[in-house]
Amino acid sequence: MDLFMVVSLILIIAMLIAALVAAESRDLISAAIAMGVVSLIASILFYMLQAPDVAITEASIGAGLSLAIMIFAIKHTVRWEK
Amino acid sequence: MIHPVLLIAIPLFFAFLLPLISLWSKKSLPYVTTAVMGLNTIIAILVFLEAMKAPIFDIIGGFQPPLGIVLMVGPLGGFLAMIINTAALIISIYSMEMKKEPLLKYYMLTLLLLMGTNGMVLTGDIFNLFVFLEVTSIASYGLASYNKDLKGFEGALKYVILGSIGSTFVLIGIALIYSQLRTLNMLDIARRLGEMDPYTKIVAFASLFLGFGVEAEMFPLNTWVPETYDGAPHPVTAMFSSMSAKSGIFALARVIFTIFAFANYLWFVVIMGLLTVFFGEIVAYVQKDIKRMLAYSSIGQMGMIIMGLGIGTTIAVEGAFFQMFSHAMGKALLFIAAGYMIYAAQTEKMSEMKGIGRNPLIGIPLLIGILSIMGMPPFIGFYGKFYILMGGFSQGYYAIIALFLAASIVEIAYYARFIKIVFQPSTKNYPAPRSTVYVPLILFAIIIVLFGVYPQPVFEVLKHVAAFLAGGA
Amino acid sequence: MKRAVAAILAILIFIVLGLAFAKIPFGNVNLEDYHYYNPIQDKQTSDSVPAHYLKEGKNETGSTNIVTAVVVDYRGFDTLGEVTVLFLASTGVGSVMYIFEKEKRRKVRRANAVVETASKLLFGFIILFGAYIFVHGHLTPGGGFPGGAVIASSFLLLYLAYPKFHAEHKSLNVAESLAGLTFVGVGLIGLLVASYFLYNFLPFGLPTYLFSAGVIPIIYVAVGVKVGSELTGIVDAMMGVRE
Repeated sequence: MDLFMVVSLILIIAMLIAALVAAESRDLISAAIAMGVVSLIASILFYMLQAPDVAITEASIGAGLSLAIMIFAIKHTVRWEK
Repeated sequence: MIHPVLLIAIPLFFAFLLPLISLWSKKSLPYVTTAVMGLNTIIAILVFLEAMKAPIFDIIGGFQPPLGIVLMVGPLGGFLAMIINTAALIISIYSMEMKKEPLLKYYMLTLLLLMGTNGMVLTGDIFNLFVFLEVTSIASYGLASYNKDLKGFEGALKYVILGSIGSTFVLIGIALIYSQLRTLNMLDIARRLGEMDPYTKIVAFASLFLGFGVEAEMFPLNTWVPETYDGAPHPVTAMFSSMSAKSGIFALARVIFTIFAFANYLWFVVIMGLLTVFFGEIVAYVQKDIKRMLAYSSIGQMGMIIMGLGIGTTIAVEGAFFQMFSHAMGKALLFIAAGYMIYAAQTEKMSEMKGIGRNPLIGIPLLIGILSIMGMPPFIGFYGKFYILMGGFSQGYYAIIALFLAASIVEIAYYARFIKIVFQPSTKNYPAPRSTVYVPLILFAIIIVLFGVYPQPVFEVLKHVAAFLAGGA
Repeated sequence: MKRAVAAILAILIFIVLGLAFAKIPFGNVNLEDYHYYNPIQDKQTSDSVPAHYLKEGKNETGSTNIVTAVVVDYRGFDTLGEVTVLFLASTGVGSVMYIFEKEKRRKVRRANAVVETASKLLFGFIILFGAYIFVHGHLTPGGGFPGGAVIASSFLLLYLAYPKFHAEHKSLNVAESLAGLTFVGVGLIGLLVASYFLYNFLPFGLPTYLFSAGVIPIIYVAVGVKVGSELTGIVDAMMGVRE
């Protein structure tokens, strides 16, 4: 196993954990942030797989804008899932 | 030479132009939209006439097919594009009833819905099909929640969830096909399908089938239909049943016949279709609200089309295409009539609508529409059902035919009940319909009667079904 | 019970899909083996689609960045569709949030002075970076979508730092419309000139120069402006409601 494989494996496991947190958390804001983490790791993985343009898009839309929009939406409703 | 791409480019161009027009004059928006749809209808007729001679391949960007995108318009695709554009034109007259703000967004969304459905019917590239599926479904989400009441949001939310799962499955199917064949052109895929790994092929087919099944209102995936149809504004409901459902079912036909070239009996498609028919018709029987009843009836009709595609003989698929035509016209008529009735009776309950059809401007088109959907002989609805039955009969699927007929009887029962309520004498006074209501109704009724009495032109088109089943355009 | 069934179903679906995806050849192994078939000329070639893009992309489109060549030129129609999807999303959000627009914005707490100053400083640079990304889309990685998203994120920064800030709706709409009209208009001009929609009708110029690749930079600038204004519009629509 070379370094590339090790790093990507760690990132993928972290991504899975973040995805599980996003699905399971009852606090919607932390769920949204966990989704942002998923996008951020995805963008790092895209960069490692030599797709820099996809990485830029994923980082700015997935981790930036959609996270912000989701948090605005949560602010208009309730924070805790019943 | 006429370019089918205009059918997509013109609505898109005007959808981008409408915000600028609205800065100058807000009143002209409905007229501009109707004019664009009229222009599109004319182009669709020209494209159809051209496609009847030979399939049109409209190359985009000047790159030969598997490298670039190509629009592939055969006689059936041209026919369906013509139906969709005509229905859109007639419904856009009824759309002028729409008073709720923001009208600018409403007209933009309708134009883009037209663009998406046209694209789904015309394209010959599978990823392009996905893009237009997205355009169609996102425009539908916006339109479904347009009323901004609880019912509208509930319906739209259900549609969003199921629709995005469906789109994801379509994307997975496309990814699997591309990973194995490195091509996205439908005919190229069809030609080289044998190179695919059999397991991957089945998974890809299942993904595409499920994905387009959402839009085509197939049985386990159609729980969004009643709520969405109920909560959407009335013209939008008519658009859903006559435009986006039709493009979804045509995409399904493309997947089954053009890409995967299953031209024989597909048992699971038939079973799905039968379940859809039963689910729709039986649930429609117990409905009390008019729009929900029509929505469930719409599911039943789509199930009949899916069954016709699944039986897979030339006659049955001819019947399925005829049924698409009759359903697009008949259901649009019924939904527009339902819109008027809800407006006039101030309620959605059918039992409160006594005597509403005694006004001949509403009653006669309504009766024609219902009889056509029921499948009565002098109207277009008859031929579709009859040919699907014939197709099953010639192959000896008697059990399927018996079940199909049983579902049809249920359908006739609840429509007969509806007719009885609507035409019984009553002392209630209803407001007279405006011209924006009865003109579309009469136009749809004329089409239904005209092609019911004189169906030869449609049969002329349906002669090309055999070529379509053999994997042509 | 429900959860267990859902988990089992999800695991089953993942296994089925995973097995299917496991058969994908990784990377560009045997890229040359997929000989495509041209349905119009009805002939089998000795070429594969991705290999053709890599070999001929620069000559056929003039774009140095092959990804851009594929996205804007070979499959430009899909890009037009994707731009429309974003346009639809922003229109839909605008339509859904419409009722709230008339409501008065309540006074909100000011942001931290550090945030205010820093965002004022960074705003211009982020916009410059976004513009760089989409203007150089045909030369370096990136393009209209990332560039537009970066520009929108600079506006997001302003929204966060200045609670009272809001972008002019009319000008956003006009920018959006004009950019969309440019894209479709370029396509229609191609239809007129060469009878191919979205035909690259301008001279390609020298590869690796800024003014090269024909209509690709024009389309990418339009896409960048469009994406930027649409995403800003969505953010604005979502910010519009204050309790």
